[in-house]
Amino acid sequence: MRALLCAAAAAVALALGSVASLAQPAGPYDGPYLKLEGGWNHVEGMSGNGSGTALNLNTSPNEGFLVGGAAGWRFDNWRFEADLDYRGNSTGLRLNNAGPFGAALSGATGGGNINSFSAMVNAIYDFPVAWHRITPYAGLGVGVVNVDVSNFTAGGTRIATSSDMGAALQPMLGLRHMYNDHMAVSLEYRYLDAFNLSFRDASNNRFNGSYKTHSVMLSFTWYFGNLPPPKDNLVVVLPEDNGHVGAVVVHDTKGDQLLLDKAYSAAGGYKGTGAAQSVEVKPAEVKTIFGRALAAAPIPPASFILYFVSDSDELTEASKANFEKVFAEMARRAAVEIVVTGHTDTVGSTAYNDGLSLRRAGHVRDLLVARGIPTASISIVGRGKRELLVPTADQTPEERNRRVVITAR
Amino acid sequence: MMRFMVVMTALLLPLGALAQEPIGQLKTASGSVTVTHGGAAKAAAAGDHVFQTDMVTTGADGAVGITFIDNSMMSLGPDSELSLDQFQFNVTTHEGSFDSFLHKGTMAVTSGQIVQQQPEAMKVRTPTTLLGVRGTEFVVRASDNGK
Repeated sequence: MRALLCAAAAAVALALGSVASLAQPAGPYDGPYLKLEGGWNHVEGMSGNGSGTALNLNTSPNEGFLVGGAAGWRFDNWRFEADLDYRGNSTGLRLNNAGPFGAALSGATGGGNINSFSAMVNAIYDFPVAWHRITPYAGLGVGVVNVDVSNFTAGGTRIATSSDMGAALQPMLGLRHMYNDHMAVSLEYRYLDAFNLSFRDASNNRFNGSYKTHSVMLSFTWYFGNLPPPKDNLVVVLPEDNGHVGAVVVHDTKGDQLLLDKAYSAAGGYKGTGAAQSVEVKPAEVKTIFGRALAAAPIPPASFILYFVSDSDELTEASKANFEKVFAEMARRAAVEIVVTGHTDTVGSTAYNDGLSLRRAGHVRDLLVARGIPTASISIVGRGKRELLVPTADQTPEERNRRVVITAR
Repeated sequence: MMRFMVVMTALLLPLGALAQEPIGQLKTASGSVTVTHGGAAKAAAAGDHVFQTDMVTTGADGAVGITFIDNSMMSLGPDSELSLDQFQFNVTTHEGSFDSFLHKGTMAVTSGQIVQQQPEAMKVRTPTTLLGVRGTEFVVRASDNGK
């Protein structure tokens, strides 16, 4: 029974493991890559029909070769590459109707070579799944192909040596195995179809032909891109509404430090290595990852400065208006606390001013309570002469510093 | 066992008494939000207070915003877990310190008067890093999947 449970647990672990690897295939990483490719190339038989002549010839299907290479760039699961291939085939030939070469040659057989050089631009999608680092992909290339029909000979007579260039499409389907994070080997099937090819026969008359090939090839790719820094553990410094940007010092578990002090400067880190490193994060990404957290942010505390008419308990006219604003501020908050903070100028000792500022705060609290705000939701603070609105030397009278600040938060 | 419980309770009582001052208040709460206070987890809503050593947790649909008594603010996205390990603040001098630990999830932070008085007196830990806060706004994500 225990053995069965163990086996079941192992199977579940395996299944979970493969789900994890499905979600996040390892490498390759975004960036440039180079590819060398080569393999077997099958060219379909071609039917050549003289334009304006009775020439009609057939070539036989043939197995040949393909060699080539590509240079490209990978973004996410997409690859875009410029791809050059050479395909070489020799083929059997039969003249069904010799046309300009004389009726005697009709039915003659022979052979020749069909070689091509293609220059294509491929777009390839790597499916975001991986099984033992093997990933399927599919792509489509568009470009031009130059097809050479050379030494077409039948019945001992030279029929054609000619070339033409035409537009071509090449769909492809393959499996890529990442040997490590940079090197890949792929097995691919590729079809190429060229349109509107027209060759000249040896008597300088045109004949139309087709060029369709099927290739099965192996390719070796080197991806130059590096591991993107991890963002599972992430810290990003944001600009404040007023444009000011603060700073955060990131200490990682390796003992290294990183100072983030620009808007959207960010650090990511691995739990495994303990290293934190600088990462690039775009504002849209912050919105995606942190949208819910940012939306849940409380309304920032709002403060209102009150002044009194000299030597009295009466608020100045401007301060009376400020006092009224507190109530609107309270109304727009679901849960609100009021902090009343008294400040003094620098005349007198710290202890004296602490007491004085607290008494002033207490007076404003009484004004708020008189307006129906529960005493319990108001706290009072006396900051004394620690936070001067207008910086002065010690023992300096300055009425702008003698104030009370109401903060709703 | 009973005697052990009594002794433990007697030992913990004075500590509990020390931690009775609220350090902040929930200003926004949506979805599943839990505050664990003194070992007891309880569904929380806007208006509830938080205390030193409390743990704030959000569910898959949860989000919460807290304003602390030094005017610093923290808000959590879904599937997040934040412990308010240590909070000291003198309202008169603004001296203090604030240590929290984001075990997992996402958090937006705006620092307050503690940092204004003394940079890096506010620290946010994650499983991989220790953040010394010099101000003012930042976001942090902690993953618990080992990466």
